[in-house]
Amino acid sequence: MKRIIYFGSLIGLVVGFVLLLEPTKGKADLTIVSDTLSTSRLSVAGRVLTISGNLVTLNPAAATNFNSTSTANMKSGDAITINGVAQTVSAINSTSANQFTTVAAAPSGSPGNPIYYLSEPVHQINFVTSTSVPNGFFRVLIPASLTVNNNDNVPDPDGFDFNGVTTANATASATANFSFVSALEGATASGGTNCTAGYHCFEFHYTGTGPSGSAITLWIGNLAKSLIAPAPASGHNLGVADAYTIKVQQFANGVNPSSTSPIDQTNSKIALIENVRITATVDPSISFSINGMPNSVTACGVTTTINTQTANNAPLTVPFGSLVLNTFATAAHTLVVSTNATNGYIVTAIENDHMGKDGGTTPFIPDTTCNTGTCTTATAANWDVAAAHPGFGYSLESVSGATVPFTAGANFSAKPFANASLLQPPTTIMSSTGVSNSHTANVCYRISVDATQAAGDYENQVTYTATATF
Amino acid sequence: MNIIKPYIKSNYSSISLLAVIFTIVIFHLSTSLAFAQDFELAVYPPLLRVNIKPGKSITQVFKIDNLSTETQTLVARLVPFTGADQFGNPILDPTYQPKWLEYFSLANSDIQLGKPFEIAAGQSQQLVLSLSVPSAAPMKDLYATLLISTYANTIDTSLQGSSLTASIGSNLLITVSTQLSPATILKITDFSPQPGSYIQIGDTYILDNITPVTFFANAVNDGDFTAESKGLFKIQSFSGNPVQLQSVLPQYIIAGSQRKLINGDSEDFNFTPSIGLIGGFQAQIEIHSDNVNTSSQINLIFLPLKALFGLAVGLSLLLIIINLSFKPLENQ
Repeated sequence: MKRIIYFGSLIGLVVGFVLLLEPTKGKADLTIVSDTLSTSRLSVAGRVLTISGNLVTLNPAAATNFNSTSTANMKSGDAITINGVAQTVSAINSTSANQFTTVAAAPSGSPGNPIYYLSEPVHQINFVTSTSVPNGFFRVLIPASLTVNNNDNVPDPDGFDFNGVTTANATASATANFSFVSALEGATASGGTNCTAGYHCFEFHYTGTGPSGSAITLWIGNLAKSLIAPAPASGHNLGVADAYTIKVQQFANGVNPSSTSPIDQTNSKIALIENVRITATVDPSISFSINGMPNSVTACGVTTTINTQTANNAPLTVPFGSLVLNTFATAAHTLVVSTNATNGYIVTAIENDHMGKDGGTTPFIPDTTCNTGTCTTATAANWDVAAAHPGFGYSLESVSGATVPFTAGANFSAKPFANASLLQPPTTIMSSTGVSNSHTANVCYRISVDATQAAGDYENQVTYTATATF
Repeated sequence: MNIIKPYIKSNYSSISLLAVIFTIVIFHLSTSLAFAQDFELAVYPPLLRVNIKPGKSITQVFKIDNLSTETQTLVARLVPFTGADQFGNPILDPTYQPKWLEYFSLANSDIQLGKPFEIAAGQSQQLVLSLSVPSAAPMKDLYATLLISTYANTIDTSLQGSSLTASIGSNLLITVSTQLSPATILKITDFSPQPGSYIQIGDTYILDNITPVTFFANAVNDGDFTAESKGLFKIQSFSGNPVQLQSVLPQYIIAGSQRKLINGDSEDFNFTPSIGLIGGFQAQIEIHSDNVNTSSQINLIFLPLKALFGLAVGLSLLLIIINLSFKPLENQ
C-alpha cells in the first residue's frame, strides 16, 4: 500500500511538473482572429497553347502546377508574363473561354510556355489577446507550398509564394502597452531559420506589459511587395474557393518559436477565388456638333469680324452682311466630333455652288485663289491680302485632337470649298484614325470683294458631313 | 398727407422710369439679340456590316439623338458610294442612283426617306431601316451611307453669306451572297521600308541596324466583296525566328478599293532594330480573314552602316593626324 501511495505521489509529481513546464498550452486562444486580404483573387498559372500576334490562347488542359485553363480569372489591364516577358492584357475574348489579346504583340511562344498573373494581396490580421504576456511576440504563419519552390516569385498551386518579402513589408499597428520593435521583426520563408517548412513565418516583437483583451492589427505585405497568392489548386473548380489556414501565435519573450509551444494560438481560414469579371458593351456611335463663334475673337490666327453665334438660324449660317470693298470679312465655326468607332471618323465639306447673287448662279463671288492665284481645293496658299484678291474661302485650325489637312499659319493659308456644281468631290476638313473624344477644329471663313462686284445679296450653301470610318 | 403726397408722386415717377427701362430691355432682348444656339447630332450605329442571302430581309434600327438645344428638322437619305479612299472614308456620290436602292426602305410609319421630320431638343428618334433583297438579286456588295441632314425649306433672302447644312452618316457595307464569306481577291502592294531609309539592291533592302525604320503597305481588293485586314506583320530571320510581331488593324477593304495597312495601335509599322541585329531577315505581312488569305514579304539586310561610317571617318581622321604628325619629322 505504501508502495502504491509512493508511486502514485511520484507520478502525480511528474505530471504536475510536466504541466508546470507547459503551463500555457491550450490555456487560452487569441480571439476574434481574422486575416482580411486586400484581394481574394487567385493568381494565374497557365500555359501557352498558341500565340498569333497579339492573340494568346491558353492551354485548356491542366498540367502539374499549371491549373489556370481559362481566362475566367483574367481581365483587361492585367500585367502578366508570358515565358518571362512582361505583357499587358488588352482584352478578353468574349466568345472563347481561353483566349485573350495583349497590348503589344506577344512574344513568340512555344506551346507550354508559362503564363503568370501575380495576385499580391496585403494580409490584414486582426485579433484580441487573451493572455497577458509582457515583452513577448506574435508570430503569423502563412501557408506555403511543400511541393514546389515557394520563394521563386511565381504563383504556387498550393500555397503563397514568399516573393522575397522582407520585414520592410510587414508592420504592426500602434497599440497601447505593445511597443512593437521593428528591429526585431522577422520575415522568414518556409523552411528558413526557426521557420518550419509548410509556412512562411512573420514575427512581431514588442515591449510593454502586453495585457490581455488588447486588439492587435498586423500587416503582412504592402504596396511595394506582398506574398503572391496561390494559383488554382489541382482539381480546382471555377467559382469554388481554395481555402488555406493561417496560424496566429503569441510567445513569451526570448523563446525559440520553432521548438516552443505558443502561449496562445488560433487558426484562421482564408479563401481565394477567381475574380468576377464584369463586362459591359458600349455601343459605337458618332456625334457631330457645330458651334458658332462671336466676333472679335481669334480663330485661325485672325480676328473674327462676324458673329456666327447669335445670328438668325445660328449656328448654321455665316452671315457676312454688308461687305466693305477690298476688305476681309472673317467668320468662324467650331466643329466637334466624338466617336468610339475604332477606325475613327472623317468630316468633309462641299459648297453647292459659288456665292450667287440672290441665290442665283450669276453673277457670283468667285471662290478664292488666294494671294498668288495658286490655291485650289487640293492645295492651300496664303491669303492675307484682300485688295486685288477677291473671293470666298476657308482655313482650318485644329483645336483638340483633330487632324486637319492644312492650317492657317501666320498668313491665313486658305483653300476654296469644293464646288458641287463643278462636280468636285467633297474635301476632308478634319479626321482621325482612332476613337476620338471631342476632337475639335475651327473652320474660318473669309470673303473679300472688289469694286467690280455687282451689288446685291450673295449666298450659297456649305454642307458638312461627318461619318465614321470603316 | 403733405409728407405722403410727394412720396407717392416720387414713387410713381420711379415706377414709371423702371417700367420704361424694363420695356426697353425686353424689347431689345426680343428683337435685337438672338441667344447662342448650338447644333449637335449623334447616330448609332455608325457602321452596319451585313452579309445577306438573296431573297432574305433584315431590319436595323438607327438611333438619332438631337443633342442641340432646339428642335431640328432633319431629312434621312441613302447615298450610295462605290469607292473609298485609302483610309476607309467613303466617296459619296449623290448623283448615283443604282436600282438596288429600292431594296431599302424605312419601316417607320411617320418618317420616309427623303422627307423631313423633326426631333425635339434633347430627344431621340429611331429610324427602322429595312433591307429586302430580291431572290434574283445579283451577288455583289452594296455600299451606301444613311445620311441624316439638317433641312430647311425656306430661303433667307436677306442672307449675305453661306448657310450651312450639317450631315451625319452611318455607313452600310452589305454583301449579297449565298455564301457566308464569299471569296475575294486581296493583294498587298507597295510593301517597303520608308523611302530614304534604305539602299535597295534588286528586291533586297539594306538597312542600318540602329536606325528606327517604318514599313508601309497597302491592301488592294480586286475582288467583288469586302475583305477584312486581320493579320500579322512580322520581321523574322530566314530560319523563321521572329524578332518583331505586330498585329494588323482589322479594317474593311471594300471591293475595288485600296487601304493603307496599319498596326493594332492605328499606327504605321515601326521597328527599332537592336545593335546586335546584323544579317538577313524577312519582313512579312500576312492577312488571314474569313474570305481571303494573302501575304507579302520583302528581304532585309541589317548592317551597322552608321557604325561603319563612323569608324571610317574616325580612321580617316586618325590617318590624317598621323600623316600630319609625321610630315614635320620628315622636314626636320
